[in-house]
Amino acid sequence: MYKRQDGKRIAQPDYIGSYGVDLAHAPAPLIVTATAKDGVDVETLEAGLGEVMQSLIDEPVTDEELNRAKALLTTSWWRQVSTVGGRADTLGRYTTQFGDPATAGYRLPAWQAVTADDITEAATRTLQPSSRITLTYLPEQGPEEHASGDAA
Amino acid sequence: MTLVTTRPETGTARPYAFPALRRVTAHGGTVIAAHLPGQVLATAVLLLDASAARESAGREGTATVLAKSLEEGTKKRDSAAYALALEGLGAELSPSVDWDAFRVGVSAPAPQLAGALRLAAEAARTPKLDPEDVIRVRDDEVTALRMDWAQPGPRADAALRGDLFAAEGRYGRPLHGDPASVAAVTVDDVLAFHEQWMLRPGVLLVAGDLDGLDLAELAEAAFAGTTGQALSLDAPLGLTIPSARRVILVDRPGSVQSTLRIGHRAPERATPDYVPMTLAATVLGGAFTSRLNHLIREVKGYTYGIRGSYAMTRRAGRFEVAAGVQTAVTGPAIKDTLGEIRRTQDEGVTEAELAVARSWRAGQLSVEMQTPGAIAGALASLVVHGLPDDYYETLRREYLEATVETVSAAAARHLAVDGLTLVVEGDGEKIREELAEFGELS
Repeated sequence: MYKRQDGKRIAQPDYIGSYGVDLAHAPAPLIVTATAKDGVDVETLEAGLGEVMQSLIDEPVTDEELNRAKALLTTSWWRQVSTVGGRADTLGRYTTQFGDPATAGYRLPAWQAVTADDITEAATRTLQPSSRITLTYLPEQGPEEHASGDAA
Repeated sequence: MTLVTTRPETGTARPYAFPALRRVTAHGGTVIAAHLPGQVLATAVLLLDASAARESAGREGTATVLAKSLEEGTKKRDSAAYALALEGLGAELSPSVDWDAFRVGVSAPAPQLAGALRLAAEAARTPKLDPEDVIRVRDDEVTALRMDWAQPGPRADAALRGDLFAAEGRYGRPLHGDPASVAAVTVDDVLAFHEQWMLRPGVLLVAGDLDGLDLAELAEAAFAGTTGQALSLDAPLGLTIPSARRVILVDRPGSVQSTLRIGHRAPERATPDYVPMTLAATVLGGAFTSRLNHLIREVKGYTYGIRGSYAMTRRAGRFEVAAGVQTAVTGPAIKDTLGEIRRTQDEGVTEAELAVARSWRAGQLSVEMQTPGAIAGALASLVVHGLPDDYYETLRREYLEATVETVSAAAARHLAVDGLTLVVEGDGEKIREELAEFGELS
């Protein structure tokens, strides 16, 4: 989203992102957030985000995109297990979620084995508009009142 | 719940060993590298003599704005292309500024470290610094500081620093500036700071499995194209402690808490008294079980937490107690705080207290140094403070072997209860009168 011309025009660069929430006993939500640039209405922003999500279904991710995602996940994985506290957290998490701490050992190779087709398939299964809920946060006051709320 | 496995018993403690160091000198700079066999991630930190202490008067925060502008692109690529290049290597850039240095750190899996370091150096040596970007970064920083300074704490911190280092120029102002000084930073200030301080080779710190890292290649990445010699080091500021206590009220009308910042100057980090001072401060205010926290929080219930510690940089140090206490008990809390500082200064520590402080400090040392990033930080301390290669092994031993006598003597030497500056940020109408009993009020 950040890279698209459209994205640059409608969303604030530091306030856009997506992440998954790992839950042990319930379907895990994938959450996409964005904050509109000044003067952009919510419908335009939501349509832009919808378009990007649809593109994951319609256009295969490129090798470059896939490798970049894998590189970032690889680094964050090694960072997570580089302290004894991080290792303990990881073992606890995989024991809780999968019943076996040894499943932690499959995570990194599994990420590295993902293909562009896998992503298209997962996107087709999970990113359909029908399975989406959108929450919109709007300021209660007008923008002028906000601007005058300067720090004392 | 299922028992997955039984907990292993603790083994016998092995002697602590800091990683072996290697040095390479090339292109006018020095690489200092710590060998971490089997470590997948590696960290490189470019340590430059471009600290906040180099900033001009009234423009404090210039180096911070520069640090935050480094990811806005380079002479070669715009910010999006730069971010993509870093991400493609799984790398993360972390520029930062303190009183001693400007650091540009980068971490990545070892095979990608050289590429990541080339990008880090590209940002450090040849940042784009487009005026529009710099102004946006500066304005964001001003907004963040305004929000921060609206909270209790920063104004009190600034008042204490301003008093302790009143005669020391830049050291009398906040590390990252204040909302007014950052707002005054111009694009030209940022460009000039970069030009003047960021182009010398500096020192490169590396932590990782050196069997897979080519230090000559890393030196080339860090230092190629740099010019100039290392600057001569300015001497420590020295120690001045006033003969009488001073009290500074920072008015915060209607505040339900008083924020206390109580301190005096102390030696710089390289002082030979570092270990006994640190242990004395740990007993006094460095842990949950410390004297201050026990009395002011546990016994009296005046606060959620009170801490006392020495903070030491290359040229200056200070002792400081920090707490937030309920307005109604501001006077009693200060009185008790001064009482515990005086008791520690006059009577020293007990063996029981020191035993906890020793094992905690020595244990924390290895807990704090698990990652390549932490090891690179430890290397930076060696360079900045001129400490020997075996420093951390010695440090651990010194913590464990410190005696009640040496720690008590350090407390007597480096606490000065009658020379403290007491900054109180709170409701002046309610607390002004009772503050006068603690020293000359301004």
